Amino acid sequence: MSEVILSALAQLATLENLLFTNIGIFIGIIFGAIPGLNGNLAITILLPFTFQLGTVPALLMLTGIFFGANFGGSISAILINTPGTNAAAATLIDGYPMCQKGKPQKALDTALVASTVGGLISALCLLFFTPQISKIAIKFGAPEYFALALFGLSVIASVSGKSLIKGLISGGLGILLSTVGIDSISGLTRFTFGNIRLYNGVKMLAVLLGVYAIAQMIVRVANPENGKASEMQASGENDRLTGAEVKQSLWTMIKSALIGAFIGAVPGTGGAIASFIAYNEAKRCAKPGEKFGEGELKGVAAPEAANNGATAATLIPLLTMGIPGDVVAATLLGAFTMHGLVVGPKLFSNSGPVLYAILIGCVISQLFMFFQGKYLLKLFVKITHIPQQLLTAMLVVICCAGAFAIGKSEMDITVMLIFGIVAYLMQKLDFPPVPIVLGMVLGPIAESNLRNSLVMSGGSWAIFVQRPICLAFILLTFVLIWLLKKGDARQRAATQKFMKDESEETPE
Amino acid sequence: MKLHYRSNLLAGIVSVLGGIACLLIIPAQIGKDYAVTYGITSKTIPQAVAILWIVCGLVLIVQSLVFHKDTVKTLEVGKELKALLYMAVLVVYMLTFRHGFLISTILLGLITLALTGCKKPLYYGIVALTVVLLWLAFTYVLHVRLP
Repeated sequence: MSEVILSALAQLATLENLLFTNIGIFIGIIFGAIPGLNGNLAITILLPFTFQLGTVPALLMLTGIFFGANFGGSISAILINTPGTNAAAATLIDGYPMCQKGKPQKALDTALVASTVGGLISALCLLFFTPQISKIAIKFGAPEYFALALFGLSVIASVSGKSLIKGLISGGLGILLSTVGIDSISGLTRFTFGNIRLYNGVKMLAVLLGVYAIAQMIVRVANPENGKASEMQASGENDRLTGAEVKQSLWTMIKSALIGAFIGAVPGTGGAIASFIAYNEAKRCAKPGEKFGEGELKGVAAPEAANNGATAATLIPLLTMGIPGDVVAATLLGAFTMHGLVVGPKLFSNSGPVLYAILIGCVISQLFMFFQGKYLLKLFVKITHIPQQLLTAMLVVICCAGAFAIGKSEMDITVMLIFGIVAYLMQKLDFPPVPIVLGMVLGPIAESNLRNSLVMSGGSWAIFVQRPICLAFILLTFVLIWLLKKGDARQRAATQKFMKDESEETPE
Repeated sequence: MKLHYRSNLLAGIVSVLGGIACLLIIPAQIGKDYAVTYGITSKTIPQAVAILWIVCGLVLIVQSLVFHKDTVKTLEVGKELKALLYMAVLVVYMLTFRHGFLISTILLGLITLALTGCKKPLYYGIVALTVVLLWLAFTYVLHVRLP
């Protein structure tokens, strides 16, 4: 084993590898930060160029894009309230309010540190615990996936803001949207209205762009004076992440990264689910005075650590079983194969040194991402200095081009614009937007696995309580909802007490 | 001119109507499932969502009318008319996009600027240039063929 590691280190320690890893991370951050573009598109575009490179630098560059894009998604979520990737949707709940309060740099720094911590833990899990984690992940059958989706949907209780009822209605909309297209089990079409372009369903990123970006642009057009003056406070001296703040949120980051690594290792899940579950867990553990949803530091740290925690872990089922956990992993599967690595149970024995060079490279990539992010973020934060009128018009045109790039279809633009209008009208009625995303991510997983589970059990619902992992998730869902309600009541009481104390201390 | 409305009451009515509309269109939009389903068909989840909307909508209406748990919100008609105008622009863009990205998107960008009350010609130039650069980048770098 030590010989393999030494050989891997020798293969890794070249200038070429370091250079292409950094190029990959840089491209990934840029693609992730632009709404509509994503890591998968970047990997697909650059894959042909990597044929000129050796296996190690080529795959390090492509995995670097993957890691960079996941972090890049948080930049637009924090600065312009538009998640660059699906996985960054949870980051904007607290990230954008921090930006509005004049702390964009602090929010971005938090995202960077959390992403690095998450990425490092995930890459170390990939390096050291791949066989063990894949053994647990392979035990996930349809009932476990259903229970996991149910557990994820319980997060709606946490992100619904003032009204859980309205959160449920929004979540229902997300679930309904996820049913559009051909039903994967029966083969029937649903809500396609005879339009062949809807047979593949509605793209989630197009809905996200509509709900977050276009709706916001309509608000800005209707209220241009908000953009000019009070909406964004000036960045002040307090806009720096301190060591004490990192220390304070370090445990949240580690816990979220582990949640992300576990969820990422389960095929078909991914960073979006991980980030919402981690956000929920951080909120559940909130101390009095920590205001989640209003610009809480841990509200940025938790989802970012989790979605980056899921990145390298997504490669675990890919490398050990040949199962791509998500779309990017499927593209990477193609890249690994094209570069001569046959993924599956024999990969470690057949291509040990090359593979370990890539896995160790994944750990080092996280550190490069930190240093690149540290300098790039200073440039990105200047976005907040662009006049709002210009920013609004530029974002609209970038979103239109980005939406088209999602599936190279005009339908995605139509979906984006329609849901921009729908989300604007929903805002007027105080419907929270985040549950729509949750419904869209988890709805299909819950539905198809519920049906598959019932087929497995011959129609018996007892299957969900007979399997230990499944039962654990179902119990966890109820416990979590109960704890969240309790935590909310505690936080409300603490806030009321704080407000009362403040008003008593304030002289008349 | 200002319009006042009760947020929960209106949201409840919209939700109930949405649920009923959904239940009505399901038979036309989803065919009959002939596979072994054990009670869960292609229609089950959409129907469950529609029922959820109706139930949640009724709860909101009861909250508002019986328990007076509601917020009165205000709409400024002038601003909303501007929003409506912009939505109409977006709908027109939706229809014209397929005939040419460059012209339609430049127009969308310029109209957006005009509606925000921008009077600086430089900004109009920057937005038009952004669209051209996007078109070039998508066509020649990303190999995404825009209409």
